[in-house]
Amino acid sequence: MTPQTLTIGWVLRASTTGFIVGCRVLQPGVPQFGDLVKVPLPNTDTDVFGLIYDVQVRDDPAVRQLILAGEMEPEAMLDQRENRLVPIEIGVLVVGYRQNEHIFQGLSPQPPLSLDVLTTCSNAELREFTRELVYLRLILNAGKIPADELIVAHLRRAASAYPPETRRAFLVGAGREIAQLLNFDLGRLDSILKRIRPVEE
Amino acid sequence: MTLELNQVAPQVKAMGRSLAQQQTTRAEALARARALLLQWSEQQSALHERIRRAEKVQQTQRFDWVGAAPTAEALAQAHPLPAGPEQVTVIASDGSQIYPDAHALTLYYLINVGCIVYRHGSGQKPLAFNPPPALYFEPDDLFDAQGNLISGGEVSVRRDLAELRVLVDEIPKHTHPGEPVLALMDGQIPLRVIDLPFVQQEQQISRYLEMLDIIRHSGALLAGYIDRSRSNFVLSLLHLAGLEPAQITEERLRRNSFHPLTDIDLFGDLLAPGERSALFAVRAKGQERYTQAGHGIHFFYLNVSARPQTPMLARVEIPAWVAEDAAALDALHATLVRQARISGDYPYVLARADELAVISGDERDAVEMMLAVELRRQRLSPDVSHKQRNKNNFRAGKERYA
Repeated sequence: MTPQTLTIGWVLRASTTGFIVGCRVLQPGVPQFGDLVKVPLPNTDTDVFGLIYDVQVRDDPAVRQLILAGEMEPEAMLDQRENRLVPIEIGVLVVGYRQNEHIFQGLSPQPPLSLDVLTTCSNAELREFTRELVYLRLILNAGKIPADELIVAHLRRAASAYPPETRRAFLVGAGREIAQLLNFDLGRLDSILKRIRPVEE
Repeated sequence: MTLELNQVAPQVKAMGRSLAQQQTTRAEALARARALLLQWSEQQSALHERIRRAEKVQQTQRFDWVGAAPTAEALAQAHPLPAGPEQVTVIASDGSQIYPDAHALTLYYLINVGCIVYRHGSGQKPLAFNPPPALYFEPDDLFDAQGNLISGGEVSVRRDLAELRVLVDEIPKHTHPGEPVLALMDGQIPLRVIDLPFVQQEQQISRYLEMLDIIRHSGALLAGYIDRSRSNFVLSLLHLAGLEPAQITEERLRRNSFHPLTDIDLFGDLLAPGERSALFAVRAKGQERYTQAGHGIHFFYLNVSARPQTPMLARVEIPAWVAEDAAALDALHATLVRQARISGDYPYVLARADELAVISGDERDAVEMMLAVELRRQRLSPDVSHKQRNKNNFRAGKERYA
């Protein structure tokens, strides 16, 4: 049985619009580009929700040297990945928050602080958050992120959290929302809609 | 900027010219040394006789002949890379320190050791850790009976002892039946005690030898890895070989005709990738206690490179009990090459042990800050010396006003 939520990492730096989380090693399948994640703000009843838009694996001179040497052993690889601090930075775009059990889509009143914990969201939280799709505008308006790719990955992931009989309705609703937001750019709209088109099962 | 680089520049040019001119002389000396190596390659008895004469000369003089003695292996023989064990555990430790500083907030010193246990062929994550760092601050730690502040040399000795202690502690925890364990040190095996008073030298060497005994009886192999060695033990032997027995005098022994060549120069082109040189024994008066205790220091040169065009030689020191065991020597030889090739040119575990041990400038500053806070909490008024404060202020950088 998989846990409902999983710790991904700790906040390195944050602003109102987004934050960077550091973690040591990516766990299999977690996190993924487009995942909805949250940071519970300590001593409050607030969770900040965000979407993962970037995962950066940093290098250092030692890693470069090992690659050049070309005689990698599994033990050395484990040492580098799990013992040495190979910093992995995860970029998160803030898309909403939960306060007093109510979900609000938009920027949170306060950003998380350094070392606050980033966790995955459960399927129930994902369904609850995506009941409204107002936050899609935030994604499209965010600068310096691959917004179209993020929307596609996120909506596909969100659809999979719904029961099969309601997935199509969810994606159709999302398509309509995006059509309103991108009615001035039909080429871009078409590209997104084609990629979130429900798959007939 | 206070260094007048324009005045350094012509000196750098002169240095370059001089080094280029030395190449011819060095090439001639190297050719002579290699000819002697081949000529004397299998004349071990005759060489031992000359060593006896050299050591007899030194008995009457204030001079120690330091050089290599041949073993049963032919001097010029290169030993190819053996197959080596598939599963072998390598344990390496390294240490770092903050030396006592009379100009710092207060007198103390700190030793930090890093250790890594790497089990080849296991598919397991290596164990990498730091034993608790040790902060020394009591008067007995800092001063001798005459009130002299502990020297940097003595702190280094204590660090070396701490490094070996970690190996001694870890070996039994990582011993598996039928699987060799290699304890690897960065640098030479003998403890560097030259800066210590004679009595302390003896005490510290005794402690060190006790730990070597424990490693020996554990069944583990022990090696010291010296990268870019400046040693000339074998060249000293060849210089001695080139002297007629009647010519062996203190003056002639001192005037090594191969200076400033090193043994690495000698073996550089003789060892193909993965090959090791013949095994030699170190002959030095300062190492007699190691020999008497059964840990006589032996060494060989090892080309860890995988590419013929770029040899990378290290000097590897081993105690007599490893040198006498052919299977152990092969396992050590193969494992060191395997380790070095992970990172390309230097044993992976030594690089990692150094990384674990090193105390960065920021960490040192953090220790100083913690000390300052604690001393003030204790209503003490720590401060750096006037000299240090002025250095800090003047080195902090100048501001320019337009």
